[in-house]
Amino acid sequence: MTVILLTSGAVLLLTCVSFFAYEFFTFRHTTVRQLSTLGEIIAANSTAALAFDSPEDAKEILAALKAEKHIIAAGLYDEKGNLFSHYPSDMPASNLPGTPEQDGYRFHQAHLIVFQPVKQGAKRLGSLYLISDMGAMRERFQLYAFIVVLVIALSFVLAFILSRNLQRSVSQPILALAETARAISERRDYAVRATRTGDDELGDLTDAFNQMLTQIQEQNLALSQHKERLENIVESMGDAYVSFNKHWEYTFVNNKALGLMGKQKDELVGKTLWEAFPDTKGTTFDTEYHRVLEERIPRSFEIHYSSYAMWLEVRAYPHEDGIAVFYTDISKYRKAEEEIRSFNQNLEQKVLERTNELKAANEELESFSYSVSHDLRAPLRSVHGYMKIFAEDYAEKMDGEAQRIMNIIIENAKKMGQLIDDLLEFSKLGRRELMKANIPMQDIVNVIWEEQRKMEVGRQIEFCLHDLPSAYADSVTIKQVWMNLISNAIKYTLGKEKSAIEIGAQERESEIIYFVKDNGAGFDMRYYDKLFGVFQRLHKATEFEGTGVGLAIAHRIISKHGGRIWANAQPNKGATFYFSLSKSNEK
Amino acid sequence: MSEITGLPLRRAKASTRLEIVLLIPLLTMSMMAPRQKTSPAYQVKAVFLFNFTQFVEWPASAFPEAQAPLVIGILGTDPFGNYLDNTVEGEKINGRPITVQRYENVEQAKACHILFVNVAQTNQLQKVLTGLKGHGILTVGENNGFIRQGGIVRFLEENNKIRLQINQEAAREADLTISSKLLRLAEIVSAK
Repeated sequence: MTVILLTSGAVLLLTCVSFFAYEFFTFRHTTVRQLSTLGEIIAANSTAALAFDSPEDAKEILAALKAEKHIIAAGLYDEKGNLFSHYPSDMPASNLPGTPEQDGYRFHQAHLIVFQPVKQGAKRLGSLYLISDMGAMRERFQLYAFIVVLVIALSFVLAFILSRNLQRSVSQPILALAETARAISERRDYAVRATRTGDDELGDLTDAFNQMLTQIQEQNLALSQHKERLENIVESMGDAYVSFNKHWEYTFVNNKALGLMGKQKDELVGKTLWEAFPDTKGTTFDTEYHRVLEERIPRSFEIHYSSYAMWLEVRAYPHEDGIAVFYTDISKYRKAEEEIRSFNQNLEQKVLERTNELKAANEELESFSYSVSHDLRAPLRSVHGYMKIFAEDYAEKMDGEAQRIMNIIIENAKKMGQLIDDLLEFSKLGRRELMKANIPMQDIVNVIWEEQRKMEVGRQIEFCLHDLPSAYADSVTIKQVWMNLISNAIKYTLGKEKSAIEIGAQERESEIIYFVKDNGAGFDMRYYDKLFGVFQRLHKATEFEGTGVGLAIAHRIISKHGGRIWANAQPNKGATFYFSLSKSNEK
Repeated sequence: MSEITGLPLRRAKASTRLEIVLLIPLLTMSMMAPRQKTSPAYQVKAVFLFNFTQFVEWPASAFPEAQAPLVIGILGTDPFGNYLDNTVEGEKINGRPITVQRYENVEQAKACHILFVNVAQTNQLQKVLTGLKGHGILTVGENNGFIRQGGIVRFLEENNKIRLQINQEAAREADLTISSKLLRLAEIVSAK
């Protein structure tokens, strides 16, 4: 209501002020024009009086101003600026300005003053002064002011009556609605509804308001359900969970956390972290939590909380009002980890010790076997030498049986020498350094074959040699391998009517597999694990001669090269020996 | 509103008009302290002679050409010294300069527009005025019988003030138009 009154009042006031201003300027303008015109007439009439020095005439002319009541005074000045004549004539001349001012007009204390030039043709003869009372304007404005006050008063009365009616139909329902809204926000009871009063826009507004209330109610319900669900989740979580606000006060603590800290809910909620746990001040907890709160980034860290003798994994996240922290007791894992670490350390230590022991033992063994075989050779050579001398010198003196036994002794001494040589060769391999280079396998195999072939005069051997890729290996030892495998093949095909030996290779991605295949005696795969052992033989010495060292040597050489050696066989149907060498180009 | 903005325009016009106003000789005598012995009364009369140029209209035929000067002549003894010359110096009326001429006989005087006749003898005066009749000359004199003998304007002194007598008929005969403002100041007299 006040608003309506104020508005109408302001509008009225503005209108009146505009009107006043317009009237004021118009009236002034009109007055100035009128006075100027009057001045021009008087001036035109006064020229001759001035020119011919006739103050009486001037006085007469000025006296005509009597008809203009608002003219207070007038004065005629000659060219020199001396007062020549004035009106009214009974007024003392001192009331008039002593000298004329610049031509023009000005307002002075509700008076309009005009100075007008007096000219005859182009010639200036003097000045005319006129002062007019603006009383007419004042009178008019007093009337206007009276009317304005009257109009404003009437308007206010009218506005008051109108607004009272308006209030009844518009303001009251709105006030009622506002009252309902206030009641709702105070009591937070969103079940309240405003009552609809009319079938107009206000009724619609009330409906919209009620609809909004319904929505708020629904959303509140959804929110509280959501909150409950979240709390359930937080409670059912395996981790301890607490939430702090910006002032480090606990706002939520789940049961797991209470269990972990051994506290009651009311010991924590509402208290600050520093009150509940003063010993965390200045620790990693303090610095990390502050970082989370200030930099708004999640942080996680592991810490040993000595007060609880507990290892904790802490994950802290910023949220709108502060930070949320999850604690996991990782003491068990920490302990287990610790144990595993110390166990591993012990184990490594032990393995190292054992390896060293083993290495020492192995070296000892090797040097032992070397020295044994080396030392055995000398007396054996002596036995063999003297037996041969004995056989040559005393053969006629011995009977046939004695000669047979002696030959057996010589034969076995020789065999034993061979065994010792092979054993020495084998043990030397363990010390030998490999000199790797690209070696032409095809040529090597051809040479060896030719050498071996020469020793087997009169035998029918079908030999098939496929293309062999060259390999990066130690040529001396690899020659030894080929020699052993080829001589074995020749040896074990001896009983066959027609011996067949095939040598070839297969290239794989990272290695080359060479093979030697024969159609000889073969062997039973049941004894395969003895095949590459030292002094291990699958055939009787009477069937095939040999020391049983050849394959062991081959095995050792290929192993030293990082390759594999293996075999496939069937009794009397031949055997195939394979070995692989890596294709690596490293030099 | 336009009426309000119109106000300063009017004022500007008025001030322009003011600037146009020329420096003119002054009405009163005190400024013109004579270097030669010109009596105060003749100083006033000299200014009046000049002022007649503004209140009297001559026929176009009175001037040989458009820019021809308006001549104020003196016939007989010159009582003004060079005061009159100083008064009119630099002055213009309707674009015409004003000059002062001194004549010795009537024939010479026919070329002027205002003639101050300072001849004492009555019969001689009669002759002069008759000779100038109809030549568009404003004759000015001081003698008692000046108007009666056909002169147009007479100066007379009354209570230490210079008054004017004008013979309107003579003026009309001379084809001169005298401003009503001037006529109102003067005493209108007739030759009869």
